[in-house]
Amino acid sequence: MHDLENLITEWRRSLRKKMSADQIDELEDHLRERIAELTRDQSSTADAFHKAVIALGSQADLTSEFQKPNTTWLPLKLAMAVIAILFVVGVVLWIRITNRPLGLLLGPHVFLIVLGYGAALLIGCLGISYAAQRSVRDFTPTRAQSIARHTATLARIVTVLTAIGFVFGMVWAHFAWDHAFSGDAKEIGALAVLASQICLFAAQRTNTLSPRAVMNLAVVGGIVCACAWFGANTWMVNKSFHSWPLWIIVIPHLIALFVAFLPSGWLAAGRDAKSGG
Amino acid sequence: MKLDKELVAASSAPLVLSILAEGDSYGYAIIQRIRELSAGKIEWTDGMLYPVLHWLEDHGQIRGRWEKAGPARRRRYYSLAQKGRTALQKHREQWDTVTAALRQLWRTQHA
Repeated sequence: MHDLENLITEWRRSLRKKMSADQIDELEDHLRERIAELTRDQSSTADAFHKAVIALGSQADLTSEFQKPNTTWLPLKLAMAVIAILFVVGVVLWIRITNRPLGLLLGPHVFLIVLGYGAALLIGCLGISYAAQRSVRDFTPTRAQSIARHTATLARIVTVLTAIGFVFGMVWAHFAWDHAFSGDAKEIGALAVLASQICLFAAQRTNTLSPRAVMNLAVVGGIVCACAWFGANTWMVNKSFHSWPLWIIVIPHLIALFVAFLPSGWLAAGRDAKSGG
Repeated sequence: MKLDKELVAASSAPLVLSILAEGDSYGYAIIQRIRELSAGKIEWTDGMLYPVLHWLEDHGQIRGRWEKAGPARRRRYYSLAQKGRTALQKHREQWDTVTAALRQLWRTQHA
């Protein structure tokens, strides 16, 4: 029996990189049922385990089947549309800045940061949408995993855009102000955005966090980006965080973080109880 | 005689919905029921059932819930939703049309 537990632990580990804990739990239940059936037919435990794993399908087949695109999540579609608009806004800003002194460095910096930060705020909105939708009905294990994976891909894009934009900003500052990094609020903010997005995609890529926790990180990433963008600007001008855009963005994120810790479907349960009473 | 892959894929949703119309069930039991009903002729790779279940759940045709199945083990049970009943009715009409047409054709061809 001890051997079987070791074999199952090892099997779980082999799937962990590509599948969520929920998906593996469901398959494990199936595997154990099949093993029980096979051992009743006189197979040895190790033999039954191997037969059950083969019947379940190869690791490559399983992960590819589970990763097949489900129905597209509407908030993700909307986020992609807004990113396309941000791209156009970024290009317009780039063109307008190009004629300024050192515009060849400042233009790409502004373009990449607008696109990167804009996408980071949208990732925060995806986190809010996830928490809101989960309040009505929980996601299936496959759908939750698919949403977290797409969000993590977006986080990776944000990281690349922000990192390159940050480097352009440093080179521009070197020529314009004689120092590439002064440790001001905007620079610290950019590093915080990078750190939060790296945490998000690393957590999803390695499957160390559940899809739900990854989406909570997306909400945290949105807060970090709002502080890095609107908060840093206000802080550098007024030495305060009294900025309406900042609070308008941060408050829904904080509510989403609170809601994310409530049981799934709590809103529908409340509504059902009310209509039932 | 085993069924073609395409036919197995096309029949997966109506089969799952029909089994759940009999009562709540879970992955392994659904696979066993399909084997029993087809005398082993409908052969699925076990793991392929779950993406189908999750697809049906995403489309609101079935509902999933976790229940304890042992001290440290959970099992996901599925039940038929109203949308699933409607979809099942549609599947029945479509499959009835196809089988009735084929039966008629083959009857005249054999006559």
